[in-house]
Amino acid sequence: MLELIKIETFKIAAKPRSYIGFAAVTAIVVLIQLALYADGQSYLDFLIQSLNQTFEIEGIGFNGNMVGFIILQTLIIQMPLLVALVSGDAISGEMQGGTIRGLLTKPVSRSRILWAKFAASELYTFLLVLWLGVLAWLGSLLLFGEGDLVVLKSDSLVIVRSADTAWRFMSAFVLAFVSLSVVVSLSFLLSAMSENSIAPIIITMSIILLFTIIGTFDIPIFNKIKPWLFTTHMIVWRNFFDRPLPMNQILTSLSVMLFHIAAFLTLTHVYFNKKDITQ
Amino acid sequence: MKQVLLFALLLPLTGLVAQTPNQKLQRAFKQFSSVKSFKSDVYIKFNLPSVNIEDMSGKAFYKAPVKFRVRLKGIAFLPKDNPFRVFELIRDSSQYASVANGVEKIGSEQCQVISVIPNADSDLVFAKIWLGEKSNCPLKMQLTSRSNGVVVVENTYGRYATKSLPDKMRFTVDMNKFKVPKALTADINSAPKKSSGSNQKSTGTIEFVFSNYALNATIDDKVFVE
Amino acid sequence: MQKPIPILEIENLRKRFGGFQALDGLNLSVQRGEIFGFLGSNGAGKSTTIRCLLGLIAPDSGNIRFRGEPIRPGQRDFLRQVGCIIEKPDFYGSLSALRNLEISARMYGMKPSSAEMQEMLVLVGLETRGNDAVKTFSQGMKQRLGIAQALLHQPELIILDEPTNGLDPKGMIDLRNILRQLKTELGKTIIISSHILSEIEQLADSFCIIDHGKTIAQGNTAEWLSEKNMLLSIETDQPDALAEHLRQSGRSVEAPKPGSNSITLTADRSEIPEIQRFLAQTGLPVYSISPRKRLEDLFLQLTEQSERHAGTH
Repeated sequence: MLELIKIETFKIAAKPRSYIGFAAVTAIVVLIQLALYADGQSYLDFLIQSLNQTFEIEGIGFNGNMVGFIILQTLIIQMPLLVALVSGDAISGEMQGGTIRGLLTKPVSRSRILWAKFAASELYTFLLVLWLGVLAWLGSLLLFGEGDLVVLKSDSLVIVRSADTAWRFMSAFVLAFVSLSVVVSLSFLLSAMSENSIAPIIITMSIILLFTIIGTFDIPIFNKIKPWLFTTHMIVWRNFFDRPLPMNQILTSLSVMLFHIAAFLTLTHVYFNKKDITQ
Repeated sequence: MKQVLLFALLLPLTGLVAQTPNQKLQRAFKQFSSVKSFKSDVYIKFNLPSVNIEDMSGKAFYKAPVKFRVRLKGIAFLPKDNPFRVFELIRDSSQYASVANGVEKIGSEQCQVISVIPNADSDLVFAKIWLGEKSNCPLKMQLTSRSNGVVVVENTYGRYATKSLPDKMRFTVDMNKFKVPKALTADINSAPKKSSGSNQKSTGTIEFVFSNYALNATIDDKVFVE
Repeated sequence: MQKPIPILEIENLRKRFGGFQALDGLNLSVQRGEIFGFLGSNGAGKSTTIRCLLGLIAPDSGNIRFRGEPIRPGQRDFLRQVGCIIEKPDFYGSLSALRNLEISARMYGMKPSSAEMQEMLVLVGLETRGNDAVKTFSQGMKQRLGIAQALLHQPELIILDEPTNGLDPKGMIDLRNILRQLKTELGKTIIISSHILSEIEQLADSFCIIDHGKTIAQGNTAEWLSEKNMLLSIETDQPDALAEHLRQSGRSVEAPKPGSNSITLTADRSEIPEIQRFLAQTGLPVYSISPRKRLEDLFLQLTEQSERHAGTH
């Protein structure tokens, strides 16, 4: 199995599109860092202007933790597209290229091929999240220095002490990885169903967009289905920056996301194993 | 003879009762004026409706007549008003007019409520002071300034009550509802909370707990600089 | 003498796609060490048969035996013994030929040395292109690389589905030579499906013709193309009258096609002089008698019969 995962990882590494994600993350992170380096304090002042009238806010200044958080918050919208670019192509790319015929006539079961591909896509996603972490958080700490983190919520803000941020960031990255794994498994399912590699990517993003739009509307019927949409839970990583830690909410969201991953993968497994390769 | 003796004993007290608000304020200032400077540890407890911030420790510095600064490591939301500004105001009785507003009990202590109106055109436009009759300390102050609105400070005294240095100083502040555009936050999908009004005001408190006072120590002015 | 056990036997294979019966009880038998031509027109069911065999498509029913043992379609230990190219070999274009070979070999649990892979490239004449990205290869080169890939794990059976598709004449000749070499030097059994009959005629030891998902003929190529059962094409102005005369003399004559000035009849080579005499006796004008005995004719004859048979049902 390890050999298969190595092969699939190698295939991902050999495709130019696999580097789009890393290039995009690097470009966006560096761009945000430069912008905040130039004008971050006025951005922060704007955000806390209503509190400035009441309080003498001591020690507030842009720092690496804040920049890391802002970048994480911004990039979470783009990351699904970047991972879907690779995972959506995992099976359909082989279909489109015709290599699926050669692949499935090797003495390896379809299930093993599927799991190896999923593992390789997950590895890619993990590396992308890791790269984001290194660049956005550790990079920002180097550039802006340490400091307390101001987390903006729509009706309040949370101050997280500098010494208390490392485990929160790491946990957030782990949860961000899990939420991106939902995207990987969804695009994987669509990839198994498609014979070209663009359709799964577009459909994955359309589903995420649709669910996110449903999530933003405060309409009773939408409110009923919101708890079941995986997109509702994809921002649960933010809860690691709340106090007290909303553990129940984190565990609920984690369960919903793991359920989605399991469901998407089961469907992919059943579909892919029964699929006739006719093209 | 007994009557004469009783009169002689009560005479100073009757004089005390008869003190004007200005005299009471002067007496309170005199009690505090022996403090030329201090530094102390301070533990700050926050209870602010829109700001979730942990309690924190730091150092407090004071230098007469009115320099006061709390030094902390990290972000802190502190009251804008300098609580020692009231002593600067009552230092010179020619600088203000005072009016007695009766008596009120704070905790177990009876207080004289005195309103103070500065004569000069200053930022502080009005102060109401609850002066403890027994401790001679300001147990409560309501400071109204142009820049910061109304701030209420409640003091609790202990070991340094004789010098009007509080053990606890609790600020009550009115806060406008904190509002950030949703696009700038990440709780995009979170369930909307029921709002009771767009301009809802709420009250928060910040409590300073002082300890380890070092009185009249030499304090570098740099401490008070930003 | 006991008949050798075929290396591969397919029995009564059926597959339906929706309303279309792609395979309708197909049978075939391949002997060890031969080149087996698997013939049929486009859509006859060749690719479906091969895909069923290799597990790309799940058949509805049927039996497959490999070396006399029943196997499931796509069974792993069977696939280990098979090297295949289906339709056209496709590779990871951005990777080199050697890297593609390595990936393929690793899927068989092998870790071939560079020398072993190079040896394969020499066999297919690509020894100088091993490090080049496959996307720079022509279709012929890809076909050759596909053969190298199919051979790398030293399979007993090689299955090539339409391997000449997209090849230029030189590519076809090269492929033919490689396949002959594989058979004679390495003793491989090769199943080659094609609708280009002249290719198969030159290569195949035995063949099977399928139509509408059914086997309509199977046998040894040499025997089928022997002097028996030759097709004679007779050129005349009066094909209908001549055909009638021949029929009356008890010969098997195909009905002349409308507007055609020739008729076709089946006969052994030894009968040709007698037929010439008979034609002279009829007094009808005969311009030429051409013996035609090529796989293509046989194929056309059999598929037309099959069409007619299907039409009557």
